[in-house]
Amino acid sequence: MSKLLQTVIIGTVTGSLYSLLALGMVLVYRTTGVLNIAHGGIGVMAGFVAWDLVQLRHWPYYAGLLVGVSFAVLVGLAFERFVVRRLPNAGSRTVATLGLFLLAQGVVFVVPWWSNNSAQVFPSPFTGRVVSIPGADFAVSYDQIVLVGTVVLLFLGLQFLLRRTRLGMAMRAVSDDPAASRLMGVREELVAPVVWAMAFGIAGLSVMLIAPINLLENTSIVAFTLKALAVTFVGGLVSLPLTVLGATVLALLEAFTQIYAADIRGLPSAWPFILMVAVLVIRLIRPTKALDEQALAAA
Amino acid sequence: MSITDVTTDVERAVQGAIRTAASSVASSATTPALTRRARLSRLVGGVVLAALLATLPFTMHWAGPAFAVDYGLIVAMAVLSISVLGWIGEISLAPVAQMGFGVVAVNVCQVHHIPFGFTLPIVALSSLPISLLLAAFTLRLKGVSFAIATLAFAYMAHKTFFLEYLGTYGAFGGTGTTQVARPSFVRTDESMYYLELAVLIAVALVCYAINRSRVGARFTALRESEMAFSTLGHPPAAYRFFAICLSGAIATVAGALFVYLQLQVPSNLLLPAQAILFFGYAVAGGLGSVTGALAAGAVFGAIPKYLETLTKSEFLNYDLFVIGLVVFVVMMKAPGGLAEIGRRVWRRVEGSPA
Repeated sequence: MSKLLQTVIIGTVTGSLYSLLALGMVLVYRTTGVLNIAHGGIGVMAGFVAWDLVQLRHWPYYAGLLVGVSFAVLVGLAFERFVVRRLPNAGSRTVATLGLFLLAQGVVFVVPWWSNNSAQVFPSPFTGRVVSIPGADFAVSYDQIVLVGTVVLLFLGLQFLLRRTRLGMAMRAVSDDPAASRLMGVREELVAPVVWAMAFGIAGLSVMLIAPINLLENTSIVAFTLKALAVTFVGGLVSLPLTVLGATVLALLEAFTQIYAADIRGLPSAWPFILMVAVLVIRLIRPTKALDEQALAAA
Repeated sequence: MSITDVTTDVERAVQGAIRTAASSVASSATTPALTRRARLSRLVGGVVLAALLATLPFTMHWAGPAFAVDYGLIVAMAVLSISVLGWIGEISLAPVAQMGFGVVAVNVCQVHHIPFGFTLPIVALSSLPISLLLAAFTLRLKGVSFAIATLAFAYMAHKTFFLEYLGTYGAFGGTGTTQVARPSFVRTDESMYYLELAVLIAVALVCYAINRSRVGARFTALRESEMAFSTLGHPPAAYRFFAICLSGAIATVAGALFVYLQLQVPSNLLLPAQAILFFGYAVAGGLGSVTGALAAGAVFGAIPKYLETLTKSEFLNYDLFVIGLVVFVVMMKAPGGLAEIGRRVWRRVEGSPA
């Protein structure tokens, strides 16, 4: 029983990690039709800015966190203003995010006092504090609880924003039919910067919440982002609830196979692909238009 | 408007697209007579390029070993495998994984003592099962969804197969020190260059021939409108399968040459993220352009290796930053990539209107 509980908790925490990264990507895709490949890269860059301030310049943790997220937001605004706005379609904008991904990853190595050791420890004020789980020989760290709580709040916040607020409806309108939304008085040039700033801010925050649990480094965050990409597929790149569900299912499958089927080497890493194939089969049996339409719009 | 009218309109539109693409192919065969300056430029350009290609490993000795240019040619082939999918408007992030299967195929051939002359054709054919699996995704997925599916496949292949089979040190089976033996006529990195160059030229010629044939014209039509393409009775799936199999064969052969160059390929050289970098090179070269892909792959593959030698590995820190900047500049200033820039420059050299 203790082992089962431990597995579920590990799966839930890891699922939150994937969800956090995936939600930012779904937000951008759903509202702009652009697959933001730079999501993880921007997060790492913002994470290093915060790490620099907190660890090297001894700023208070929350001030560093605020500056890191603000930096990501500013990069998002600049990217929208100087790149996204000048490119003709979602396809070329997606490729531009690839350039940004490489650039952001490169910056981490270019700054001399960052690149000397690119995997950094970035403790939060909660690091070292744990909560023991009754009935289980296992403890959960405060950092993990904060991560799960943030995902819940972010998910509810984004759902509310997109479904219940004028800004959210404007975002969806611009994405669905830019010409009609213009006629209805929605100004795309005001909506798009909000989307990009928000997505990049979420990317920065995500990495800063993940860093105390894992190290702050490029390789692992990129690996998490790749899995998050697979998870976005479950929700057809547009559905927030299905994305969170997919992330949780993937993480639970990984945790269960790592603990209960450790003999089958490589199976945990195969789950993202197996999950995608399963989703495809489900879609073949019960076709939905959303995925194809969105994919075609972005291509 | 009846359904027949719609079908007729669609047919007319696609036939127009195919005719335009076909006429552009045909027109290249019946181009007006070249000016004297253009003829001279082509002659001088061709001689200079041939001389450069023939002597490159030796003329670049001052900058570093021949390994750098050898690696550049392999990257060029990998980038070409990504770029040819631009013909059907798809993005695959699996070529690095397919290179890995090329590495494995060479090992299997050596274990069974298959002569080198048969190895590369066998490696190319061995790419078919994986390519067909990936192509099956295109029956249902397009655009970014297909790209994500290929990335997930590459991730699985790396974590479940290459880590086990190639291990950390690239020795087959994950342990030991087994290496691939090069053919007797390519003992040095300089001679390896000529083998790679010959294979690359052969692959490039095949790609040119396909791109300029009726099949190439139909790829263009398929990319422009799949619905109209199938309405005319052409099977989109068959053309997609063909393009993906071609791309897979090129990537797998690139992997085979890679292991002949390195002798051992550790699994960390086949990371899925490497495919994102190669895709960046393909964009910089101009997606869909054979020449652009080869130029970008060779330049971005070889130059960092030379700079590593010249700067005593300091350049490694700037590698990603520089290619990121290049992708940005290309997207903003010349969306057609190096191919477009090269065409513009060459038109000026030839004195023809831009």
